[in-house]
Amino acid sequence: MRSSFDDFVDERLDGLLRYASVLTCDAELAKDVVQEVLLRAQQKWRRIGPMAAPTAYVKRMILNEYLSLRRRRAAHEAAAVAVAREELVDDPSGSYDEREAMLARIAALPPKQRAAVVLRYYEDRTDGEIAELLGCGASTVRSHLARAIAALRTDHVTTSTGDGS
Amino acid sequence: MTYTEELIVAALRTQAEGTQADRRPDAMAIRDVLTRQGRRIRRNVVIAVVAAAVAAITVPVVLHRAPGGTAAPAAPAAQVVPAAPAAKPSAPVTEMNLAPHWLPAHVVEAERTSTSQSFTRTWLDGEVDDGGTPVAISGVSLAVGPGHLPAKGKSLTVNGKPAKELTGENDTRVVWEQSPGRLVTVSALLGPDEAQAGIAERVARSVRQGDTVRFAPQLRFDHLPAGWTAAGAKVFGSRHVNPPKTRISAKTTYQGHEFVLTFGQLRTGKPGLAQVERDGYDVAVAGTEQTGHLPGWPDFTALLAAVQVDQHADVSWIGTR
Repeated sequence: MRSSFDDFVDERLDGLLRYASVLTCDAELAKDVVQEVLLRAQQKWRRIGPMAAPTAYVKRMILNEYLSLRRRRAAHEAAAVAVAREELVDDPSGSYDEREAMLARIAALPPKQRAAVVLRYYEDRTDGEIAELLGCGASTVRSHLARAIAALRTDHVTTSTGDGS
Repeated sequence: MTYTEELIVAALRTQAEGTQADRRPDAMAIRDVLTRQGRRIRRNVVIAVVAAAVAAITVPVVLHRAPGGTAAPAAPAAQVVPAAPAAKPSAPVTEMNLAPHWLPAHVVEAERTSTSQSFTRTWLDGEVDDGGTPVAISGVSLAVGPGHLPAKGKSLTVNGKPAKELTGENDTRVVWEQSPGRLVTVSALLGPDEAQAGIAERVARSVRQGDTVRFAPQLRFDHLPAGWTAAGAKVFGSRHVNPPKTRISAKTTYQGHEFVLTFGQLRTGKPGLAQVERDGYDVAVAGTEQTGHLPGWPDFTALLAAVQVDQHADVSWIGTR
């Protein structure tokens, strides 16, 4: 007998995986995060299912799981992900390279900055919405985004490369 | 939008679409895991339901441990739960003077759960995982707590007392009032087997008074912070959870909502919200998502400091009949 949770998974799993993928920048980690969250959601589905926006609730669980995972993991791991991603670049097209390079830099951002970037540029959230999701003030969100953009700026990378040559 | 921002959007979309196979999360693996858990939840819902129902009722079966370790007579429930802020709660020792004298073949005791008002014993023919979830084909539980005979269900007589048999999707329960207001529940969880009702009845009819079972968890609270009260204790074990695990819980009301925190040995790989080593035991605290993300609350250090370890607690009943 199918449950409403089964229907939810059928409809939303792909989207949740995409969301987790951009947060984690790692397919395996995204799978782990989504699986962990859905296992918990399945146990609490009687409470989550009737909510007005269960998908938003589950996405918030994913965000929290990602942030708590990041807190538990060594700081150097982000750099390792970035290096691994650089090694994956094999598309000859220039634009693809640029996107790959950008993903590598996003992967190296501190967790809350990366979450803010994803919520703004992937989820199209406002400062206020991001602040609520991250449990901080809107000014802190603006600070996260400003620092992230500064780190991600392509001209910054170019300049740095030039300075180092 | 600047060029950098446009590139961020494009990069995130690339990541989301998983253009390379090795970047595409394995959705099928997740579906498989969820399906397995779904079956397990449906199969074991009865045990959770019975335990929760018994936990909600209010017969005082918890006793105070008197100085010197001797159990004192039963105290009213209101005295058992440390309602006063910063009160020093007595070490809870639960006793049940009812026991089944017949059980299905192959089941062994896997879990005991107590609250301030109830006591549940569970026998399984399978395992519990390290999160305390039964992974069993069949099982039986016996619960004692406050309550009254329900009006619905098939009427029968158990040891001379009026009883009701309630059949659910996954279980059959036989309930009766041992004394006015004191409800006994025998639950049989045997899958889609027509013999299930017969098993529940047979276990129920074998329940006798006189054999006293004691339950002293390895962990207890001492000097809980103001506003917190002890909520319950659970010890479980199996071949795969050896040594057995103990968990105790405390509850409070914060901003109009009740929060329950669990203390003890958590599921493998779960570090918890905070943890401490106490007398050789790693004691972690787990709570809800909300609990973990309320800034500055609760004071996990003070709560963990309230957890005491009883090195001599008897868990030899695990795996026996």
